Amino acid sequence: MEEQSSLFNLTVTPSLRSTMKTVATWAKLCAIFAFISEGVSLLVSFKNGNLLGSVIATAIGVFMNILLLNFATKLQAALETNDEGLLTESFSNLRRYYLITGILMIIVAVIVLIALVFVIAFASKL
Amino acid sequence: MEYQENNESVFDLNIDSTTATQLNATGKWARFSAIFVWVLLGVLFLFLVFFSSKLGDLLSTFGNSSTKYGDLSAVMSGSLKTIMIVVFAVVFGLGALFNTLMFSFGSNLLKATDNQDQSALEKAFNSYKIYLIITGVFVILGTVITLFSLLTLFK
Repeated sequence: MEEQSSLFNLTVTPSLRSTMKTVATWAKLCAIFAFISEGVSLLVSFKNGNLLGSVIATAIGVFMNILLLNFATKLQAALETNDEGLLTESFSNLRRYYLITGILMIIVAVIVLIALVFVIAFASKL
Repeated sequence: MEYQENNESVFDLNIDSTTATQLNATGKWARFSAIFVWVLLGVLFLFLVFFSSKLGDLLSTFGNSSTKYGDLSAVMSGSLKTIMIVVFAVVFGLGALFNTLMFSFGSNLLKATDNQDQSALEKAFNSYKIYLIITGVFVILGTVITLFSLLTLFK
């Protein structure tokens, strides 16, 4: 019984609600502008002929922005309707967003480390 | 008063165990990302400090490789080095700001869900709000620049 009540210690207070509304608005804005930017970048790369890399980068970007947009839209809806289910779905999208970000970070770190090894090897020959 | 409290609790949005689990996982990955970027920035900083002398040689080599600009190689290497240091300082500064906010978001989210700490939850979302506002401004600027590049390309 005690454990059950301790689960509900965290609530969305009026100040947190206001902060979350701003978070949702800006997250939506970021996602929409990132969609536009990715579309335009893809057009530019079509024109320049760098297709494969751009398509992969755009696909990852679009997928991540869908998650961010879902997070924002569902958070706004949850705050308007006081729907806890929507709030859970919203944060589930945010969790996936950061999970993918974390995995991409690891991949980028590996690439950067390999590049650094090459640059150090090149610089030591000078 | 009692009625008001009950009324508030009925209409308040509670964070249940499922949502808390999602927030906890989000916090872990957000903190992990922030720490990882700190490490990357640290490695890049060390790289710049240790190889700043080599960087001049490297850039002058590129300068000498061009016959047209061969005479200007020393000037070019000097100014390029300065530009690279300024660019790195800006990138490092922005990275540090973004990461501080991201780390604050992640660690406060973990603190909030682990200890049922309401103030930590508020701090986490305040950090995330600032993070998103700054990101939003940069994303808008980036989109405008990309649109300009598209216009110049199809002109």
